[in-house]
Amino acid sequence: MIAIGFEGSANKIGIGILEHTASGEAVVLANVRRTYITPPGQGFLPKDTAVHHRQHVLALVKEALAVAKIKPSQIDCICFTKGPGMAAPLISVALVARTLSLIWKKPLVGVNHAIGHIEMGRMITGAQNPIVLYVSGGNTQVIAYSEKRYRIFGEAIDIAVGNCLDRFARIVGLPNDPAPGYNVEQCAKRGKTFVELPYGVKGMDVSFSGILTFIESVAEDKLKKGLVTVDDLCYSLQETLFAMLVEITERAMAHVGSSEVLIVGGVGSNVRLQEMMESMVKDRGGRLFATDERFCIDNGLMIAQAGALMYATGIVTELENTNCTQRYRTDDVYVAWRE
Amino acid sequence: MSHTLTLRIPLGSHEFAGIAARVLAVDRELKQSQVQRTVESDGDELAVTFTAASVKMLRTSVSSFLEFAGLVAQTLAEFGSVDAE
Repeated sequence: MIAIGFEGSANKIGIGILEHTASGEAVVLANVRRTYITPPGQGFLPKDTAVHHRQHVLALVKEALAVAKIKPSQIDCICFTKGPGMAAPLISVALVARTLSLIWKKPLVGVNHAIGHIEMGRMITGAQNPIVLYVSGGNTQVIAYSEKRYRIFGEAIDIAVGNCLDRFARIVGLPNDPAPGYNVEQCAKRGKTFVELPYGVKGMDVSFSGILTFIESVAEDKLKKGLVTVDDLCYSLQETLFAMLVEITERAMAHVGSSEVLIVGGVGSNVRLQEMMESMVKDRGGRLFATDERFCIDNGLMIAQAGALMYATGIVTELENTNCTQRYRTDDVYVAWRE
Repeated sequence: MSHTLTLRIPLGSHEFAGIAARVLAVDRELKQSQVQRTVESDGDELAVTFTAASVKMLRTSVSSFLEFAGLVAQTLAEFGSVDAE
């Protein structure tokens, strides 16, 4: 079975093509992507992001088909991100998926973006039943599978951890190329002075906006006075944010009795986060699973993977129900494809 | 909601107009209380009617719709006449 997946919920537009062979193997046929990068100090707004996606999506479809060396007739299902995410970018990509569905006469499968990340992580790493830490610019959730649902055990109550890192990068003028969080990570490696920041764990949940406000005032004060460097602040911010994430992940592991952790989402490509998580997981006699930037940063292949699993259980999304939704809870989806 | 506008967009064939109408009708306007839109195909053309509470809402919705419709038209132009085979 061959699935094509369309992803464009934030500033990445990606198309992936995947084959599930008769012997149960998942083969990557194509995974192409473009990223909308704004100048330093600026975030990406929905309207401009949608313009970017509209400019690239059709060429990416052609590129994906060419890389996969397949014709549209060989595709079994067209998978696309239904939500969550930004409305105009989501709709732009969904319109192309819907149009191709009618032209090529193939069924559509509307996929939850978070579940795309989870299923891609499971497929690439082989992790069986891990606690999943989903961390990105738009989402921060601790998830565990139980009885046909990916249940949210804990989450950010205000802004996502990636959003906190990205906005901090903008405050200190770090470039957005290739991603603001990547540049924060590189600066953090050179940090020497640890600046104490508020710690925002609230039971199973985390809060980041207070830390952002605080570090903004530190930047106005100590940074301007030359008492700390940007590297020091990046280092301090990462250590604090990641310690919080490790804590709530550990709490979920204890609740569920799991010894596996899988990190997905763009922030999952951060090596320091992986180090800190692995340290905790190893202390508990467990195993950490993580993927590289091809798969943990938003991509079309993850949508194809989750969509293919859904399609294999008979799920299709009728055209009238392919509307995009900015809010779409991970636990709203009935996970028919797992025990 | 007293401000209305009707667009007629030629798409070249009954088939293309039909496809465009179906895919563009799926997403509803975000602010239903302020603007509503109906999308239908009529022959070779897409017929879209907007009803809005203010000129500003009308302008925003029409502008946004034209960008989406343009994308659908482009998709049809680039992929529509080539057989799936």
